[in-house]
Amino acid sequence: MRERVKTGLLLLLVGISIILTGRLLFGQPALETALPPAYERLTFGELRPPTEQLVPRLRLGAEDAWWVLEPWDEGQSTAWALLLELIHAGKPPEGAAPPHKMTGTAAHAFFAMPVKARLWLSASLPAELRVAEVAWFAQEPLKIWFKDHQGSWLTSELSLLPDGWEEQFMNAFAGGVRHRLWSAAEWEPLVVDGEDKILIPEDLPYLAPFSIRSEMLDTEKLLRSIFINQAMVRRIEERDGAVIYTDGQRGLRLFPSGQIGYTSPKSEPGQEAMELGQALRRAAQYLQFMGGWPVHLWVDPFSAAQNLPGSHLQGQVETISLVSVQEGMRLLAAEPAVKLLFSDRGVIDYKRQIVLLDSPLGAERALIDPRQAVQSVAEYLKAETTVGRLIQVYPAYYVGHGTAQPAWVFLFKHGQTVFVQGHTGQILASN
Amino acid sequence: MDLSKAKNILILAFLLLNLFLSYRLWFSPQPLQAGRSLSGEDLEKVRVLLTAAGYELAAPIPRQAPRLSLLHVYREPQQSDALVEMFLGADVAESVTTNGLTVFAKEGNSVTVTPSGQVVFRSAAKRKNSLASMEENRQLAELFLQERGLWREDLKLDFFRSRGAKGDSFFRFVQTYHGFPLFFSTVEVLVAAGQVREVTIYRVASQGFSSKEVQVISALEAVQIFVEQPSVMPAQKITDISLGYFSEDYDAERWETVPVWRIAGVDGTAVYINAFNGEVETSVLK
Repeated sequence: MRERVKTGLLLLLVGISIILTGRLLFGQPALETALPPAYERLTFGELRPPTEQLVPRLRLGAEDAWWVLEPWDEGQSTAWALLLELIHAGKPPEGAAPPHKMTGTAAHAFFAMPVKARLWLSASLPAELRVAEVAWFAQEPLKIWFKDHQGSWLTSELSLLPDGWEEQFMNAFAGGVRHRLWSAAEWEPLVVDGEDKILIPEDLPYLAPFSIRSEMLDTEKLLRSIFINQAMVRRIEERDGAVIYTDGQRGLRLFPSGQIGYTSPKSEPGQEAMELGQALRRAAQYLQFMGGWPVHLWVDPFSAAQNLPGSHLQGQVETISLVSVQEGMRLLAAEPAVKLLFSDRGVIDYKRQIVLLDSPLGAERALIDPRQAVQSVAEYLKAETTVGRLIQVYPAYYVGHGTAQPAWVFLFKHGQTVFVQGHTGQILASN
Repeated sequence: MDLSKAKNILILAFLLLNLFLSYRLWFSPQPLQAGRSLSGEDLEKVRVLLTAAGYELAAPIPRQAPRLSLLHVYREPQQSDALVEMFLGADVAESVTTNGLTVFAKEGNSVTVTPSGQVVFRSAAKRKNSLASMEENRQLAELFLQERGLWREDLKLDFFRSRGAKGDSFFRFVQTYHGFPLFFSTVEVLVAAGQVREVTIYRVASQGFSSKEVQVISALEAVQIFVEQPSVMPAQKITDISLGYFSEDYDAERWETVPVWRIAGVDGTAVYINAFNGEVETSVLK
């Protein structure tokens, strides 16, 4: 009897083990489908705070001789910190006439886009004031001037200039580039407004052409950062070598050249307007999820027209464009290195093609005098029906055809740009 | 060896094995249902929703909402060359038009190949006096495809209608894979006056499903999304609600397609709703 019970128990246990094994093997979906997708917060680099995004271009000098510190130049942060010291010490500003009559040494800080004063300038400034330019004049050293986004001026009084401030401030510009102001007549037949001060480096820059390579992003990480549930993401291999990933709501296109394009039409239109600080913080957050904000990317003071605010299109949409600066020069191409279109509902459109200077293709040579290129630029633009006035001329690298060519950039009102080869004077391209 | 002792050892061994298996089952993720099924009440809701939106339902409502995964497809290389030969024979000169279309012509017949791989055959055969029925025209269409080696067992008739006063017949056959229609991979045949006048082929090859399965939305949820859309479908009579695969037209060699619910009208127009996330993949497509 006992043996029979044992036999029965053994058969029962064998049966149970078969059932359990069957359930384990066939009764469960694969782990990745059984578990809800785990949201892993993937980011690229550090979050860039608004105060590091909107760094002004500084200028110090008098008459037609100026030292210029671009946001990425050595000494810029010291000079800007000193200027901020004065701003913070100033009394609440009052309306004033434009400082046209001021003579002698002056310092100017130009923002890529009008900054809300309270964002970081000073709590004593009116909350609604949006500052496009800050100025200080040695002739009246106890005054700070603010130009708002509409062109009106305000002044803030100082009770005392800190000890040695002026000397420290001048010294900070030692790392800058000495520029000369060229009169409108020197740019003829191009049209220049007297208000637009076109400064050209006094010593023509020595630059060599460079080979370039594309930024290599971790695309797997990028995919996981954008698409939470990978099981729903379709992969499409296009004939031109690009690969598209989409879940039906958003699409990410990875080009063989390293370019990234992302679209999410559902984020448009935005529902609520964002003030500048909020928009900048949002832009930094989005970039941190979508490839990061490398240190060589800057909001270009010369591309202010492309950027927020004032770029509110239909339904509260913001745009921000970033330029790459390497070897102290902007790398410019037909499209900005990064262009982000977003709203309070998310990123609408994102394009990223960051190239890096690889190795020089020849020796460094001085660029030609940009005045030598004026005629060819004027000829080139002859066919254009509407050419704005010339507002800036500056050296840069033009990126195209697999190289970065030293170039002079002729920037016209309304964003029209002509790139001239810096060594030959040939027209490279225009935007 | 003592049998009784052996039994003891085996009992102990299986007891331990069962404990281990139970432990694995207990601590492993709870098995998801292999799919969901609509109740009779849900089916009634679908009818009410469509009626309230002004549609007349003339199609069965699928009850099952299974777990599905993406389907890998690719475009067969040289497929268009083979099709040109099947329609026109060998040694046909080609000419390229400005829109990227490649046109082949022979004895009045032509084959146009689009950049995305769609092939359109147009016949110059003379019209006959024909009073063929729709069924006879269908047989003619299938015979035409079979004679040219274009008929495949995975094709199924998806839609047909009579066009024009002369009784032309239009048939759309859709490719299937594991029983699921690939709504974008079709063979369309126009039969007029006893002759096949036009054949349009867009066909992909299936590579299999991806490994990760996702629970699809039910037909009820798909209809709820459909009726919330602005009026995107001109037809008021719904003749098909079915689950299949859909893809937009990509200039690609290989890609993945997504499960969709297709809600189709009597005139052949359809709305495709992504069965994973409920997005409308594209509005009206014929």
